[in-house]
Formats: sequence, C-alpha cells, structure tokens
Amino acid sequence: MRLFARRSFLIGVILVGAVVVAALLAGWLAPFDPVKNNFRNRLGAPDDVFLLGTDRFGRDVLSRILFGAQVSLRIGLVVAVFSGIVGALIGLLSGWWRGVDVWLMRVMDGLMAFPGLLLAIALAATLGPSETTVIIALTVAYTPRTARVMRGAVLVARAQDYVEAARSVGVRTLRLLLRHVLPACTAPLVVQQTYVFAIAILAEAVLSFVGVGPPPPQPTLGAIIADGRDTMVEAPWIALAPGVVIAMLVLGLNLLGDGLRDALDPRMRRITS
Amino acid sequence: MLRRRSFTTGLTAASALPLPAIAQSVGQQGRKGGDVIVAMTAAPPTLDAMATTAAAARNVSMHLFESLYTRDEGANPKPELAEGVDIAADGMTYTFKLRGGVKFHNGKTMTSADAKASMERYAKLGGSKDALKTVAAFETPNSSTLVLKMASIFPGLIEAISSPRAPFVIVPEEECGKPLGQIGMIGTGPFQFAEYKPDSHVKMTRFDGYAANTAYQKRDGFTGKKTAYFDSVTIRIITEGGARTAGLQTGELHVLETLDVAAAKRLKDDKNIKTYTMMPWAFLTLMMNNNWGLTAKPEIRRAVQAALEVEEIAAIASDGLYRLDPSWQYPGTNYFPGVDGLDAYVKQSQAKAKSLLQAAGYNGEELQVICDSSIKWHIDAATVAAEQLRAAGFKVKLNVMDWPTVNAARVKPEGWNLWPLAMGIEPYEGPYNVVGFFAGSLPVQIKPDPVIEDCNRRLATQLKLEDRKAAVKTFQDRLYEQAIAVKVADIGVIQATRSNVMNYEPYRIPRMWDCWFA
Repeated sequence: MRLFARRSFLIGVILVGAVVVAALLAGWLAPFDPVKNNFRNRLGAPDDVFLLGTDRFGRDVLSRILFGAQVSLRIGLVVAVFSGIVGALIGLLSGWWRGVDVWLMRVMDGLMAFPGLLLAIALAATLGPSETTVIIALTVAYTPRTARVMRGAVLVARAQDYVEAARSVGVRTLRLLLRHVLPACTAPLVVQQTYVFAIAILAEAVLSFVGVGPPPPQPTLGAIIADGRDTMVEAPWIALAPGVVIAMLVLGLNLLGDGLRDALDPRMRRITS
Repeated sequence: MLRRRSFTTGLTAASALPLPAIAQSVGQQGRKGGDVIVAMTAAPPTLDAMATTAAAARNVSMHLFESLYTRDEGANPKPELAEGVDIAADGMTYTFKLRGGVKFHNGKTMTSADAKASMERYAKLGGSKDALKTVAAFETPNSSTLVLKMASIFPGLIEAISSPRAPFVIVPEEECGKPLGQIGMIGTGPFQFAEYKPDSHVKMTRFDGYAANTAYQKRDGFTGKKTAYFDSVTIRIITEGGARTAGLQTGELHVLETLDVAAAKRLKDDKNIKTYTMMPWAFLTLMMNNNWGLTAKPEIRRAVQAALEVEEIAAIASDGLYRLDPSWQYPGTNYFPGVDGLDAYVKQSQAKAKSLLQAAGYNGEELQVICDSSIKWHIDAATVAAEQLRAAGFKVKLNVMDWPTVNAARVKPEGWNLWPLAMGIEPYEGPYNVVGFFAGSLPVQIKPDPVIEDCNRRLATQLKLEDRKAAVKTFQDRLYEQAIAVKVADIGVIQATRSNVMNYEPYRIPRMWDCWFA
C-alpha cells in the first residue's frame, strides 16, 4: 500500500471518507427531517439541540448538510463517471482514427471555448432546474477536458512498440483498443476524473447558489449556502458549515487525485522514490 | 340641472389605514443642499413614465412628473395638478379645473392643451390605458379646464387615473407626439431630470421653478405641498441586498428602498441608521388554476385551502414582517369588505384536507406549483406551501423558473395548478385591479367565474359607493367559497435612511421631497 504512505493521499482519504461516511449514514445521523419547517424557530443559533443552528425556514442545518452532501456527492460521482465514459470514448476514437480526429476535436474545442461553468449554467437554465439537469449540464461541460486527456494518452499509446507489434500480428482493432490501448490510458483518466469529481461538486454548489440547481426544498450544499447568503452577518452558521464541508470535499479529492497521479505515473515514481 | 359631486375633498379613509403617520414637519425648518443617494433594487425598463408599470420606474418618475389626481398618505385619490373635479350626476362628464401657474421643467406654463395631449397619448400607449377606454373625448373649453366626455359610465375613473402604477402624468403638448420611450423627461415635479446611466444611476436636480400646491399644508402621499430641499437626488441601482446594507452602514448610501428584515434587526441599535416599517406593502397570495388538472375540481381547491397554514407561510416568506388579514382589501380603506364569515376558510385543518381529497377521489396525481426564483416572497411561499400540501397527502411538483417564464406559464390555460404572487400595487390602488385580476379577458384563475364577472361589472357601473362595496364583498366571499385563491397575509417592507436624513417618512417609494440633511 505505497499509496497510503503518502501523507497528502492519506489526508485526502480521511477528508473525503469522513464526508462520504457521514452522507451515507445521513438517515441515521441526521437528528431532524431536513425539509421540515418550523417558523417559530427561524435563524436559531447553534445550541445543544440544533448543533449547527437553524435556517430561515427553521430547518436544522446539520440535517440539511448531511442530506445535502449525499446529493452533492451523488452528482459529483455521476458526472465523473458519465464524463469519464463519454470522454474516454471520444478520446479513444479521436486518438486512434485520425479521420474523425479533426471533427471530434473541433467539436470539443467549440465546447471548451465556453468556460465550463458558464456552459453548465446556460444548459441548466435552458433545461430547467433538477438534479438530472445538473448532471447533464456538468457532464456536457466537463466531457471535452476528459476527451482531450484521453486523446493525448491514446496518441502516446498507439506509438508504443507493443501496440505496433500487436497490429503487425493481426490483432483486431477492437481487441487492440480494449486490451492494449485502453489499459495504458487508465492512469491519466482516473486522475483526471478525480479532478472532475471535485470540480463537479464545486460546480453543483455554484449552480444551486445561482438558482439553477435542484429545486427547493431538496438540500444541496450550494443551496444551503445560497439560503444563508442574505443572513451572512446575522446567521453566519447557515453558509459557513456547508462551505466548510465543500472545502473538505474538494481539498480531499484534489489530494486523492495528486496521490493517484504520483502513484500511477512512472516518471513521478522515479522522482519521489 | 345636473347634480354634481366633487372629489376635491377626497375620500375619507386615510386615518384608518395603518400606514405611518404623516410627517412631523410642522415646526421643523428644512435646510437646502446636498446630494442624497438612494438605492433601488432594480433598473427601470424605461423612464417613459406613462408606458411602464415597473416599480423601479416609479422611484424616478414620481419625483419628475405629476398627474391631475394622485394618491394621498392613505392611498386615497387626491388632486395634484387639478384643483378638483366636478362629476356630472349621470357620471358621463368629468370637468377638471387645473391649477394655475404650474411650470414645466422647460419653463413653459402648463395649460389644458398639455393635459389633453398627455391623456390622449396615455390612451394610446399608457401602461394602464384601459382606464381611459370609456372616455369618448377630451375637450378643452379654456386653457385651465379639461373635460372628459364618457362613452359609458366608469365610477372608478378617478381611482384609475390617480394610480401611480403607470402614472397618468402631464407632460408638454409638444412631447406627446413622440413614440414610446423617446419622450423628453420634462414634467412639473419638484425635481428635474439630469442624467441616466443604465445599470448605474439616475440623477435629478432640484427644480427651483416648482409651483408647490398651496391647497395643502404639507406633503400627503404623492400629493400635498411639496418642497425640494436636496440640491440633487441620485438613485443608484444596486440589486444585491448585502451591498445596499453595507452602503448604508458606510454612509455611501443615504436612503434604501428596502432593507432586509434580518439586517434591520441587526442594525436597530445603530445610531447612524433609522429604519421605517411599511405595513401593509402587499398581499401575499397563492393563485389557483380552476381550468386544468387537479385544481379544476372545487373539492381539491378546498383541500388545498384547508391544508395550508397561512401563518407559517407568511412568517417565513416575509422574514416575520406580516400581519394575518384574510380580507381582499386593506382594513380601513373605502372598499374594505370586512372579515365576517371567513374563519372557517382560514384555519388550517389537515384532517379536513385529507377528507376532501378522499371525497374528490384523489389518486396521487401531481399538483404542479410554478414559481419564480427572483422574488424571495414567491419562492419561499411556494416552498413552504409545497411542504404543507405534501404533509396533507398531495403529491407536489415545484417548478422553479425565472420571472418572465413564470409570467408566460401562468397565463397558459394548462400546465399549472398553484402560483404564488405578492400583489403590491393592486391592493394599494383599491378594488378595481384586485377584482379585475380575477375577471375580464384574462382572469388569473384562467376560467372566468360568473359571480366574479358580475362583481367586476357592478364595480365598473354602480354609481353609489355602497353598491360597489357590496360587489367587493360578494367577490371576496366567492373567492373563499370557491377556493379560487388563498390570501396568505399582508406583508411589509422596511425602508431605511442614514440618521442625518431628516423628516423622512416611508411610502410606496422613497420620497425625496420635504426631507433634508441635518
């Protein structure tokens, strides 16, 4: 377990693990219903009953964060997986078949010409706010980056001697791609998708903050921060607590990604060993 | 000989409307000078006062322009550029005697030709031009008299033309031929236009040729004896609530159109800031579509009515600035129909809601709630109502959109069941646009209701006030009995100034006349 010997990777695992475990156990850990209003207990400061206070609706902030983290993690994970699959496919096609490369990459360049977040906001605003919309918007926004990384890895792999050798002995293209090229590209893909996971969580928070995320009362980390925006001075706990959770998640995922990159990249292994 | 009645003394309900007391200006001496900076929450779509119903435009136009009649402190019609009006007993002729010596900002003296041309322009492109559709002709027998000849009676004419919604302003005759949005900003108000930088600010300077209305002792709503003390007024467009609050705290802003309730509570002990509560400001309502889906059935609408705890909705949506008031007119106003018999409708009863749902054969179909995310009152009311309805057994889908999309969706006959709306200017104006909202060619509930249509007709044709009040009472009873809409509560806003702004009194807009810097 050389990975766990790296302190940054270990910190990343602890940070992400803590949030993931808390989110998975939200049903048991949350002391209150996260959407239950109580107007007689609005903007209550943290105390021994409401550990992180209450929001403008009188809802328990801790319960909302636990369930909100579930939604944010789910969105981040699904976006990372979907953009990984689609991006990998596009990158594989583009890197292998030079005829389609120019067309696919121009499309990807076109999408990348828009800042990812802006593109996601435009798509989410057009499709209407929902969790599915956020997933679609972020997948579209972040697939081109994955495709670019994958294409580069395929271009390197296809020039390798073992690939040339396999081609020369008549291995079929599909088998060649799946057995020899794709495994060679897995490391950069995995590292890239950990970053997409982190960026998607941040982007979901932004989309919810600007009002195009999942509709209320569904808690998401960004929506909870947006709820606390107007009362940052009077009730800072509403926005601060989910902000800390997002920071933990994003920092943790980045440290995880860095650790994976260092472990999977042979050149980095040589430098650090 | 025709019997005539006069509006010069105005209507009598001001004392009963729970608005802030009229300024304590008697005995205080104003001081001229300074540039007062006011923050408003949105940019005006146009500064053509007649053409737009946008609240942001009123912040500017009510300083620059005046009308024949406007509203006093209690929202009742009172003369402004007219000395008064004589209404023929048959309701077919309105004779306005104009005030003498009133100057426009370009130095020209106002005459009846300007009033006639302005009203004719309004009839073509005004934001509330329907108010003039029963006018057959505008006549000017002399330079100080304007006569409106009616094609049919419309007892609400003075209420309509005195509304500041899209004000019936008087501008120079030569400006009236200009197209929408291209009119010169020349009025008779206490301030004159200086510059407009879109998305930044509007600047106005004191009009030293202003002819104050000596028929009044002091300011009174939008009318009264107005005196401009500030050298200039700069109205800045600042959409972010936190930025407005910070600007007020640092002294970069002197007056806020609205201050967040939580911020107001925090700043209540700040000696540099004064806060003013405007209650009532608006009706918070939930409109139902009686034409489509679940809410086409009266039993389901009654189940919605029974499932809602209006106090919780009001408290959360207004941040605690509300008063429970089931009436569809403000208490103390001329048309207030009372609240007798409404108890049974306004008390939440989940058991009643569930039994009504069962009786209606409810089978888990989705109740479609549409709301915008731009206005906090709306999205908060929808969020709380949706949870209450779910608790009563409804399956609810909350569709959050932007304001233009919701406005387009809610006029469609299908696709929505419940729509939250804060009605701001309509109840301030009186009953015509409240009842009218549920009647005519595009009733908010989509399918016209024959009883409400009749109320609207009676309101528009009955010459006796008592008969019109009876129509409003019938309208209110019908809304509750048929559960066409839910009146949640009256909600308020907070305006604020720096402490050195003297003699300020809150109103529908921040009025920058009759106040000054210490």
